[in-house]
Amino acid sequence: MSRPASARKRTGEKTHGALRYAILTVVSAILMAPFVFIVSISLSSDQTTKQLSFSFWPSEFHFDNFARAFTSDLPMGRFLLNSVVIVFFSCIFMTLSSAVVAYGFARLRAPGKNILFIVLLSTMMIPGEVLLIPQFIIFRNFGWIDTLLPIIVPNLFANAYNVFLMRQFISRIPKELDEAAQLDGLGQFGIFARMAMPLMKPILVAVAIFTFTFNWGYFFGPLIYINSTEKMPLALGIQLLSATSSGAQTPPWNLVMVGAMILIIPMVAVYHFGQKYLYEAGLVSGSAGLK
Amino acid sequence: MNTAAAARERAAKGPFEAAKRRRFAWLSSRLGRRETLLFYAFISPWIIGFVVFTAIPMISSAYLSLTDWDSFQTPNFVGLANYVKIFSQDPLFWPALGHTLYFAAISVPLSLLIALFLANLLAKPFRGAKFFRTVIYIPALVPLVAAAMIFRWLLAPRSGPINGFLALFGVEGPAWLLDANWIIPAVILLALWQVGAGTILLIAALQGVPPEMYEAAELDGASRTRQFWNISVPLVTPILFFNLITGMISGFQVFSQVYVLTNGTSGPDNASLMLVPYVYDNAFRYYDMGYASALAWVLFAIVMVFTAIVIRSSNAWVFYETEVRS
Amino acid sequence: MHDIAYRGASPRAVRASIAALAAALALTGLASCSASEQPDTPDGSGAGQAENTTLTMTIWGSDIDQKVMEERLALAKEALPDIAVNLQLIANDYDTKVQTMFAGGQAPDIMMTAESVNVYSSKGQLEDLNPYFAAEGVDPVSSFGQGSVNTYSTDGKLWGAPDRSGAAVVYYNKDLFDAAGVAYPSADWDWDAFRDAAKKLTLTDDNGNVSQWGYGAGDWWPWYMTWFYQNGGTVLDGQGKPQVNSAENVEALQFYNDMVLIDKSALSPLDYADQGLDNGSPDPLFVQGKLAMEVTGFWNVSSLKDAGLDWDIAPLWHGKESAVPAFSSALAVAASSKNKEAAAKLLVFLTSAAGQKPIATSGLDVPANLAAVADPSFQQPSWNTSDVDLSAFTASASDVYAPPFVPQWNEIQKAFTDGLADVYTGKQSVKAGLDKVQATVEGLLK
Repeated sequence: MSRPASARKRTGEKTHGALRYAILTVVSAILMAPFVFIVSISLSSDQTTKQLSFSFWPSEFHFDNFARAFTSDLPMGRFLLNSVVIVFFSCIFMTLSSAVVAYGFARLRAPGKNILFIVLLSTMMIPGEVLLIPQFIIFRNFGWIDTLLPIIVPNLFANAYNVFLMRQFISRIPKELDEAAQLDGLGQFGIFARMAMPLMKPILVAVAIFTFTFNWGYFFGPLIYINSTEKMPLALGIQLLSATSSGAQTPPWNLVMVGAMILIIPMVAVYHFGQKYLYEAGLVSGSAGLK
Repeated sequence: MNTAAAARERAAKGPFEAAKRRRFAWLSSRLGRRETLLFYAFISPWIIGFVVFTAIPMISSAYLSLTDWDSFQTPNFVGLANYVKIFSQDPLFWPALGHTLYFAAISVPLSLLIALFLANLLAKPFRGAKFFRTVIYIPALVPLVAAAMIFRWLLAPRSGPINGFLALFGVEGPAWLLDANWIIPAVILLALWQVGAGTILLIAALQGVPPEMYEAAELDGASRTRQFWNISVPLVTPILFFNLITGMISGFQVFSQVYVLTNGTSGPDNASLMLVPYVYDNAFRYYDMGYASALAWVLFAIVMVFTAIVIRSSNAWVFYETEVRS
Repeated sequence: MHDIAYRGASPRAVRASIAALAAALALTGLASCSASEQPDTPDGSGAGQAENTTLTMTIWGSDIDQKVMEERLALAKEALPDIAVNLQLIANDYDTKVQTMFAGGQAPDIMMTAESVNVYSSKGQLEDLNPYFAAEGVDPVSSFGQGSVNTYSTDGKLWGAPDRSGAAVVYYNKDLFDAAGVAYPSADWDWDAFRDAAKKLTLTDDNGNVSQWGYGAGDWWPWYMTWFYQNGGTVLDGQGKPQVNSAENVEALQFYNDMVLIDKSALSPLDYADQGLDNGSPDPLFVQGKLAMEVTGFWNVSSLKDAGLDWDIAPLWHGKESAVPAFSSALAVAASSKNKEAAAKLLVFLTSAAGQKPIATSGLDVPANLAAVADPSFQQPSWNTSDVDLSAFTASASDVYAPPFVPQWNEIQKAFTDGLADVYTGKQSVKAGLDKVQATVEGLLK
């Protein structure tokens, strides 16, 4: 970091730095404003909620709303455990399987590869709504309804988004590294496991973070496949907290936002602390040059 | 297999078949066969998952698109009737397609540009970088039901903060969700607010750009803007390409944002009707699974065409360190 | 460092994770498939006695709905000890989930249903309950009244046992009425009396903006259809033909829309949007004390109980005719159920006066069983400490109309929402809007 810099550059850096802070502060304010409002609503009294007379900045502090979530009759501990089981296995399965598949697509030559890659991408293009019932029937035939398996097991088989992302990353790793490894006597699998995987750390972390946040907040799959309350993950179970007797009834927005906060906080924490690894090496390998 | 390849090699006579011939030679070599095998071994997890969990549902939905299935009774085969209805009789299909294209055409490039701009600001280490990098991702983590409730309030015609802000400049804000011309921009605002995931990928990508390159450019007297366009952007094109493709696919499939913001009405008077909400309505509110499947496959074809165009164009603007094609 | 992290990691890690997953699932009992197999194994799993039957039942609603149903099932257990019920509360996306269960061959034995009853009945998914009621010696019409039975019947077949059914009532803010010197609402009001009162209850601030409204409604069938029916109009006639743009209906909707756009005594879509609400969510404004009257169902009694307002309820006013919407739900038996007999038996009990009592005592809703409604447990419940006039829910029972719960109900609702969106904002005439709805509905029912 002790590289020589001219005086001109230093002043330029300074104004640039100030400008950067100014822009980021404005952007952050815009992005965070809705979030502040969510916090404010989550701390509002029931009376304020019924009146819908929320204030932007929190003016009431009903932290007991959060306590209500955990002292209700709902098995919140169980919901949490189910969510942890789901995200733990999903992250491991998805990250590893996507890495293996992506490496194949990025590095190995074979007939049919391009077609298969298009097929892979095409699985993202069909709206899941029309696949729901056939998939339900498949899982029913496996005897998996009302278990966590329909949520967890598909993660073992990678998915298009993550494979594509990782392929883009791997394609940035210079091939000379492969050749060097080959000279060291490593086979393709050895190159993948001992050379590529360590270099892929940031992208593995990125996929793990995405898989975590997706599964942590995902309620539609569990809604369809899980029937018993004690098998529900947090994102689904927490909806029981704010459900109303009639569709025409105004939802208890303070509890809706409490639910949202309970879901958001762990995701923010995971990302905030995962950043270190995500940004450690960057998604473009260090030695890359323009060609 | 060797003889077959050799025969094909013999048959290949034209000058531009040279490359092909080399490929066949490679394929028929021991090494080539080994690599092919390895390739299929590596991608086998996806293939197994695809065959078991995705291919069968895709095939059955393709078949169902040729039926009148109401999701309960035995489906009757109706040939292409659903497709004929989509293109010639359904008064809502073309508007839905138009709205979807409008949404994608605005939101996809805009979110790409915003993500790139923010990523550029956040890539280099500076005090507070971690905080700001977290802040930009938070909106993407907010459950949509909560986000929609907030946006309805933000977009309130006479008392909402957004129109209040516009009023400072003497602009009379629109009625947003009540106005056929402004409902889709409102949905785009909500989508842009959640631009975080694309941004963090680009931050990570930009971080890998070697500092020497900027230093060299600096010595050459290149301005920051030039450095950005000539160094940063080309080096992150693989991730931009990824963001563009996946953003486009999900842009065409926009569902939750518009569904929660309009309370499932796609209103006012279908002014915000998009294709996937229309698929959902047909499948789960009107119990016309056959028609919903046909709509889904039409959308599939449209997305496929656009994706193919982008992939075709990518040779010209995406810079890979190594060749990824076979 | 590179080598340590990932050497040979993937296959071993995958194998280890699979083992750990299996262990975790076994440990937490999450992998048990017994629940999913229940419909196929009538003797139930782990229930003990072979003659026991376990039924699955799906309901929507909140935790209170679940508690009340559990209480009722406990009563049922005393009467029918051989029937156990696996109750599933589906808090969100009820219709999507239940449709998937039916389509996927995992239909619940019993489901709570309402508007979509004939989607299922018309596709052969429900069991006619009449024979079962007859076998138990119960007459549905004398138990639930003709209106409720009609709502859930087609062609003389009863597709759902009426469970909850309360007429819509007028919720009114006494303080605002007293301040304006207007007499409280009553069933004797005709449209002019109502419009007059609403006008007097509407106040504007110094800038000419409305600060208090007489009435709040919007885009929801109990509101717009009631104007039609009270004016002698209808949606579908006796032959099932759409009559949406009849002169009666145009006149009726014009009356309401004039209140919105001319009198400004009824909340407009813009007024709602300013609160971040859809066209038709008057509750928050009522609680704010800015709205004098709204028409809605029983559920508001409990949410208004401690709202700090002086309020009461009254039966709905009348037009040329008396017509009152009701909010109801029923319990239906899946035709594919392996235990139809037991399921129907259970429903006969749950909809009996004894089986419905917890609905009343808990203050959840109005029971559909007329004997349960007449019972002191509903008329003078212990929770009614503020002396809300609960007779309002039953006073207009004879004027309840049966909305056209045809299989295309959802599409018809959407047609009204679409066609009238520009009417409520004044961009289109009532006639043009209803013409458009008529054309759409004609296309649907072709």
